[in-house]
Amino acid sequence: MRILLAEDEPKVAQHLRQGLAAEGYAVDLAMDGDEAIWLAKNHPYDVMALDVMMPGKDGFTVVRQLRREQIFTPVIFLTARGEVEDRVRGLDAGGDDYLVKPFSLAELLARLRALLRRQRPQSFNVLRVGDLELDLVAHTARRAGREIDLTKREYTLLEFLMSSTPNPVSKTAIVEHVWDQHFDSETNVVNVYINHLRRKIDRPGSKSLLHTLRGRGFAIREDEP
Amino acid sequence: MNSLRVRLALWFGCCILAITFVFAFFTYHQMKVELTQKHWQRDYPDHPDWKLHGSFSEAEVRDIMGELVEGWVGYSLPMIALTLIIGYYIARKSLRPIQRVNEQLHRINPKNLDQKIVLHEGDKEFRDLLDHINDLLGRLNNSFTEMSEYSAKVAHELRTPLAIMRLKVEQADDNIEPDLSEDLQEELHRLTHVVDQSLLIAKAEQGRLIWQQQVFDLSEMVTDVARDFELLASESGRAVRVRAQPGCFVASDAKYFKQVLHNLLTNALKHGQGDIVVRLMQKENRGGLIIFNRVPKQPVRADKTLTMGLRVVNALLIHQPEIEFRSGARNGHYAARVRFVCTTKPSMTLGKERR
Repeated sequence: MRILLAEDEPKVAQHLRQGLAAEGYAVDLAMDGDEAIWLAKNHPYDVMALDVMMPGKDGFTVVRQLRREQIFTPVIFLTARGEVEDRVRGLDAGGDDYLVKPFSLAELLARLRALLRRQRPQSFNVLRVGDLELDLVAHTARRAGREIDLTKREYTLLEFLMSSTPNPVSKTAIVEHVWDQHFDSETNVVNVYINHLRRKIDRPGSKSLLHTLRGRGFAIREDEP
Repeated sequence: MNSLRVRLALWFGCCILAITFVFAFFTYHQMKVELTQKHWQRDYPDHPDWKLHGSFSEAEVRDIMGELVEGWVGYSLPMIALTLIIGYYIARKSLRPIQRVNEQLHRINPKNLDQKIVLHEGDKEFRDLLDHINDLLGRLNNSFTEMSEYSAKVAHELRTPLAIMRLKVEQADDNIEPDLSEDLQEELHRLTHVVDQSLLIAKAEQGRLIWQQQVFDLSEMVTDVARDFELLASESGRAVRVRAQPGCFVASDAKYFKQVLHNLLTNALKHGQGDIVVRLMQKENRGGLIIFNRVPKQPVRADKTLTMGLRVVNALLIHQPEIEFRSGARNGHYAARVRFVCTTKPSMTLGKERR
């Protein structure tokens, strides 16, 4: 997968580049809007992650210009501006998703995967880890063919964990992805939901799939960490 | 008497009446003097052909003066009405530019502060006033834009280093002691939240927050949000008891309303004791949400300042005239009450912006 990353802040760009490369993405970096347009016009990308506030042309202008030139590569905006009006402007400009800084790398990766899934055939609509299956269209989960009854929140949590597999996701990333409200760090909401989910997925006698990785978060994978 | 037009019409009418009264008084007085006190020479040797009139008795003079007064009263009543009507018409016509300016000012909101007030007619005084109003609007627009940009810049300046720190911690977690990594991530998350909430409070208190009006089912929202808190409360042996009257629809911003609900429940969970009771009621078109719980006799916050969560609630609701929020502790119980206007279930949900 080839990704165009446009970010003028060198440190953010460097960390994102490393994180994306570690996930197997081939990353091209643009430091301003004009460079992003030039790269996008001259190379085929699977997805683009664009900072909004960049020198030269801002992210919205870049996307508008690319769409005018019939380049419809999916775009996710990365920005410090998280107001509703800003999001609406971004999506109206032709963006496909919007992520507000500071964000977790796991969150960015999950959203990139979701963007890519929309471009791919139906087989990508089912996530699998071992004998655990999550149908993203029917919103159902099965383990060894047996349907698991999940609440809306548990489904979102499981989807996030499975789309990040085998990598772990931190508690912070989970709170940000699953809930639209901030939970005080003193509350234990993630652990509570993980316990509920674990009871439903890892029934007695079946292999444990949902693992707690001390200091790193939680992961769904077949092998023990 | 609060209308300037009425006051001007009365003033105009009174002026006309006063002038008329002075003339009438002078006429009356002069005529009376002429008829009763002047000794007219009744023979004119130089003009023997002149026909003489006059020689009125006292009774005749009184009669003449009485007729004069009657005539004055008879004519002045319709005159009063006429002057008032003319006065009102002139006042209304003169003040029409102000009405037009008012109408245009009423249509100006933070989204179109760059608009100018235009008057195609009007006297020089009005044009001067208009120039000053337009200058003022221009300055207001500049400062509003600067403030919005400032918030955005602050957000950008703070969020970018936070993003860098967070990505660094995530990437270095193999080399950091796990507990330290977790603590750092939590503190970064908390710091991010404080930045977000501070910006939200600043914007809300300045009345610059835009509420996306939409009709939503508050009963459903209360049940959904409370479910998370039920699980959290059960961890510490407490319970959240929810009684939400179904079908309570509200026209407001669902996101901010949810935040209010979330903050009040977080507050109850964090600073309260025992079970948390949530009641949602509706009577005709008025709705009420009450969240109450026990609190320690000795307040946790001795300085009586609000927690950030409550401050956010206050800031969010202060500019919403249709939502009333009160909270306080009494006899070891804390209650947060939100009163609002209910609406009917929508056939389809339409979004509408409102500050």
